[in-house]
Amino acid sequence: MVLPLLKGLSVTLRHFFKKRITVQYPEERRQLPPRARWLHQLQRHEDGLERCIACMLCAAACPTGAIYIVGAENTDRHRVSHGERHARVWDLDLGRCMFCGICVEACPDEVIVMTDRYELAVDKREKLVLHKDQLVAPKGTPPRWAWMGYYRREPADKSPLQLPLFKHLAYEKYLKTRGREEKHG
Amino acid sequence: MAEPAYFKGRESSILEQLKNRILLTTVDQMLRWARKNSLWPLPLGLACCAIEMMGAFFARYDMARFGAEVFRFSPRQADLMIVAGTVTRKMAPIVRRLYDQMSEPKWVIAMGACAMAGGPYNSYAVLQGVDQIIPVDIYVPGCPPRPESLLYGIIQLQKKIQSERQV
Repeated sequence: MVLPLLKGLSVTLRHFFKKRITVQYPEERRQLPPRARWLHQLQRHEDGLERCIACMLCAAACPTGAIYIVGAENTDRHRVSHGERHARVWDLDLGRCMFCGICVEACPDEVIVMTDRYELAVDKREKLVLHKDQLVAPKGTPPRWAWMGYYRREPADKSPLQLPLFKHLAYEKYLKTRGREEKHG
Repeated sequence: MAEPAYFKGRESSILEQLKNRILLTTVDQMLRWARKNSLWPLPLGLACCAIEMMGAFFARYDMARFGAEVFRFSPRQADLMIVAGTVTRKMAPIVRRLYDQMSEPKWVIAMGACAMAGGPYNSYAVLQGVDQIIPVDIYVPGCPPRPESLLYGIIQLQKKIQSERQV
């Protein structure tokens, strides 16, 4: 009768000396996998202009209709992106978005990438709609390519190591500036 | 009455001593402090978000660090309703009744896209946001949110409780 009890308690005792697995969340954050799909980011060109040209393909591809875009013409006086058009409004409704990443796949210019920002809680329903100024990367952010996450544009028989070297170097540098050790898979 | 021996020669520092030994606060502040550190959640797991909610409460993310680990399956013993998942129109009256049965003060977290605004289910069968039937304090986006996202939501709720007037 005592033996099974001791057997059970030995498990408890073993776990008592094991390493604790609790992540002390607000102070300590878990490293997300490189393909993690969280809040979207709209990329910029190296010269600071936005990449989005308001082609509406992401809005069309979105399964839940979470993306709302209003395009506008670029003029010489007011130039937001290269090319003819830019997105005047680029709204993302987090109340609909399910972070599937289909907009990333649909984007022909690799404007949209998904970041690891998952702390999105808000206290008003209106704040669930994120506007363009909250989503565009700050000026000077080195470009990321969508293939760095899940969506490689290269043929499937090509391993990421066969990709142009400069892309790798740029990404490594970018990771260093963010103080992260992750390597893309 | 004779002065206690302790204070002999220390009269000048009595105020200092009192300052070090007595915590002055208002009832309001104490209530806020107590309430925000002992949120007892009512888990309203209606869909897949409930899995992440469970994840947030187990050892790796350990909600007990925020004083919110006591899952109460009776609404009368709960402070915080975590609506995790799709609220269908058929479920809506039950959600409302559970909310009504909770005792004051009570807070609500809408977890996940479905509970916040209907999410991918833009349909006649699904309630387009649980805030149509009950007041929601914190919205936690994600489909489903990570356990950390929910923890962040709970921290935001604690901040909200800290800032609102209780008495």
